[in-house]
Amino acid sequence: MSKPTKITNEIRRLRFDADEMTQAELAKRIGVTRQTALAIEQGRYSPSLEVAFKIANVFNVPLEQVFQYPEGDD
Amino acid sequence: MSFYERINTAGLVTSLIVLAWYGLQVVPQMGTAPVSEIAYTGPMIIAVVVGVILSVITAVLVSIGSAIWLTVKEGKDAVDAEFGNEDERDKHIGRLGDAIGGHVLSVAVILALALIWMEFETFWVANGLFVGAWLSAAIGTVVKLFAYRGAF
Repeated sequence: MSKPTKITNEIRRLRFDADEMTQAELAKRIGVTRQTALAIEQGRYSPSLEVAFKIANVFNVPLEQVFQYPEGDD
Repeated sequence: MSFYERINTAGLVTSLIVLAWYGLQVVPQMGTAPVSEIAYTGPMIIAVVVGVILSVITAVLVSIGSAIWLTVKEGKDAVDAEFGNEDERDKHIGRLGDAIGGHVLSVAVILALALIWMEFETFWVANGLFVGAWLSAAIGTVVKLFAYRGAF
């Protein structure tokens, strides 16, 4: 199945920079299952705005450093 | 495989077994007697009741089995994190599957009404509704499983 969204993310790199935070740890801190954290990281699932902000808060970075959307696309 | 994915898979397998059992009770009678004489009511009631009971038992067994497996593999924290915590993705997937299953059920009801309008035997109406309800649940579950594995 194709990706449902053009949104990309830097979660893998941010986890690496955060002392190799595990997906399980990230999932626990944002209140989702590991499978959902994995789906978000792989770009298979676009999280709600609330979960997106929770992810940004975990890594202590602005939202746009976690998620990106290609400019000029609608 | 997430907790809800396991539960859905188990439910699908259980419903397939129940439908197969019902088919084995009824299909052999077809062709040997007029449909008005086919004894389908008893098997259908048993299939519905046993199907509900089995789906609950299966869900409990899958939950217990998964909890034991996860505890042994990753510890109690993993169980606390994974079990019974329906997150937003689970809810989205659940709603998608239920919506598509609902559409299938709507079509089944309209087809059953059409059978009544055309004065088909009760056997065909009842079985049309029974299989339609089963298809509704099964297709809804398959959609959920695809969604878990695919673009969700």
